[in-house]
Amino acid sequence: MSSTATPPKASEARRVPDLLNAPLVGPFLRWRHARTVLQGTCLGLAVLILLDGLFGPQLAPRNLAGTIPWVHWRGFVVLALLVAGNLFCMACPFMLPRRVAKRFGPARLAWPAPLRSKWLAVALLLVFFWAYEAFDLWTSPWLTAWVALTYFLLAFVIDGFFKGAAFCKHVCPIGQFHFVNGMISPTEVRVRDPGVCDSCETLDCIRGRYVPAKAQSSEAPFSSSESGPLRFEASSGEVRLPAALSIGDADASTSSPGRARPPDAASGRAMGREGLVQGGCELALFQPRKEGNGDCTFCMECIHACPHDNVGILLRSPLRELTRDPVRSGIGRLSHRLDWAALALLLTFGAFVNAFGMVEPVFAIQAWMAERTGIRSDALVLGLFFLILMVGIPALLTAAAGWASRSLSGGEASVRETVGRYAWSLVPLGFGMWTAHYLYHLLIGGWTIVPVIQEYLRDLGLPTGGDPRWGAGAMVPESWLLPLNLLFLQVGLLLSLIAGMRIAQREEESRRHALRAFLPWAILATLLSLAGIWLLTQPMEMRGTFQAI
Amino acid sequence: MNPRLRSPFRSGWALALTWLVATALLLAGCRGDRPTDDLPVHVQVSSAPTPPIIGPVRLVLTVTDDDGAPVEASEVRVEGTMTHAGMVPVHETARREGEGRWVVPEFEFTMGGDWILIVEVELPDGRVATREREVTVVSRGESDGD
Repeated sequence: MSSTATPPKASEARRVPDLLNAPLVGPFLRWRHARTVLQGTCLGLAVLILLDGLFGPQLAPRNLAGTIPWVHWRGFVVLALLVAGNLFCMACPFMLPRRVAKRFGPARLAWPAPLRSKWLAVALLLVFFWAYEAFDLWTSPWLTAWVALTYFLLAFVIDGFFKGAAFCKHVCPIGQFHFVNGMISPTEVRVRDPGVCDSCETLDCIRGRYVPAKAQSSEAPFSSSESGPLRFEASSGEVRLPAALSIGDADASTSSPGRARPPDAASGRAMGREGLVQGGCELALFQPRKEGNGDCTFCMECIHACPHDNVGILLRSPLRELTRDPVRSGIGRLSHRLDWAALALLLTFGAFVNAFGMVEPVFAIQAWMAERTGIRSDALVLGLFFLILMVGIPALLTAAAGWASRSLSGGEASVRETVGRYAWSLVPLGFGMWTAHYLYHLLIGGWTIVPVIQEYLRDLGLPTGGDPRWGAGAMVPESWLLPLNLLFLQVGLLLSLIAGMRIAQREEESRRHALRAFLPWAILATLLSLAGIWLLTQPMEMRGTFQAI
Repeated sequence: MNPRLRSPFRSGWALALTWLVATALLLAGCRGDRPTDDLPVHVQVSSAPTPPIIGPVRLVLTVTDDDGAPVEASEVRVEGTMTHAGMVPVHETARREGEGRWVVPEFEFTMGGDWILIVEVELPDGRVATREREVTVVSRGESDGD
């Protein structure tokens, strides 16, 4: 049995702390150009990284492209997800050039139906993890710069041709990392008072706001005031649309036969962009039915678009999203989305494989594989290694857990459905491992940015404040790192176990059945956690460049 | 024109962006890989144990010219840095042990993995030859010893 969307009562919703009401941060985020400022800052940094990566010294520890993305950015990304939310997508520098693409490109094509899922993103993420190891991206500022440049180009081209935020929703591997791991973030862009949405007739949060019709030329096709009978009915979760309003490229899998779907931002564009003064959600997330951070880039368009000031960035329990399974706008039920489950599992197991790539035994295993298979290409051996560890073994383990869970509880759901439900319980554990790994790099070498910048300034003939301080490195005593890493991992395990139990209680009819259904997933999470402890206690080796298999 | 898209350009964002990119390009043009010297100086690095292990390692640096003859140097400095950014580099000054032979008795490799040794050979006339050598540092069990 799956829960249905039960938005909080209006009185409860008003009591939830809202980041938009926080001092300093709140007024800034409410400012219409806040995101542009954040993006502009990140774009400036990205330009420096690109240029230093392409033209600067190619020794990674002395180059901005070798340092900032792999040491600082990754650390701050997990920190932001941990304490706030999807701040990277909010400040994503790839989106500013994309605006130009939207301005000059056709941006009218619908994203191809066969690609309206997470499968492409899963494949790209897998390719990225492989490329990271195969080409030792962290050792090459030049390659790092090219990866970033490719990102800019892809975002520019894809969103220049296709409607909505096709790149963010269906392509961007970094975005997917945030969508999944952001599910345990403590904040969420959400409606404050669902009662207000009941009476809303304009639905600007998703369609965008247009200038009044009389202010437009006679060719202007649409304005909010003309929306007429367009209406959201909270009781049924349906949207009544006027016949003239065409639906854009909302995710096909969210549609239900006989049900009208919420309009998406693309629907406005389908009728022409003229007159648009404030965009709505470009990722097809309709606020009254939006649930959690999946596919949410924290772009704040809905916040600015809502004429009732009814959308906030609300605090929440980190487990709220993973343990509920309502129909989510733009996504559907998570438990029915195998592509989303695959994404979650890839990111969970990927956390361990990524860390495994930095300890000594991995090289022995790769050498053994090369010897046994006779494959001489390092890249191919790594590809095989990744396929086994990030696809084969996760598929096998989760299928086994799903089968055991189903058998023990006597449930009627298929193994596939069971995996789709419980895969989400592993996300906190995966995020714990990502946090341990990325914060390790940040904490052990965060201050190395100081001499890098000093040398950068010196090379430009600018004042540096003395000789580069190459001794600057660790941000905390080194003896703290292992305990901290283990803490992150174990908190991840604890949250995974709680999430797994809550999912079981949600799905099973009795506590006894729930315990039985939960047991295999608890064992899997515990085994993964033990693997993580073993990994974190191994001597770390930053190897790759010179090591021939 | 879409006013939403137009407004940032009107308000000077485009100007700021253009300035930023142009400045960054200008700055980047001033920076690049340091020019390699063409001094006839060759540096051979050996370690004990071999391959080097995590912890203190004895480094022996042999400095020769094109003909393999020892080069007279006034100072030899060694910097060890990992290929992964974020690790504190190790700086040492070598001790002269004979003609063209310099030694760092205890060069502290702080982590296993790939290291780059940047050797600066300062000649008596003040010119400096910089050479880079790559080494992989292993844990104690993987090394064959001296």
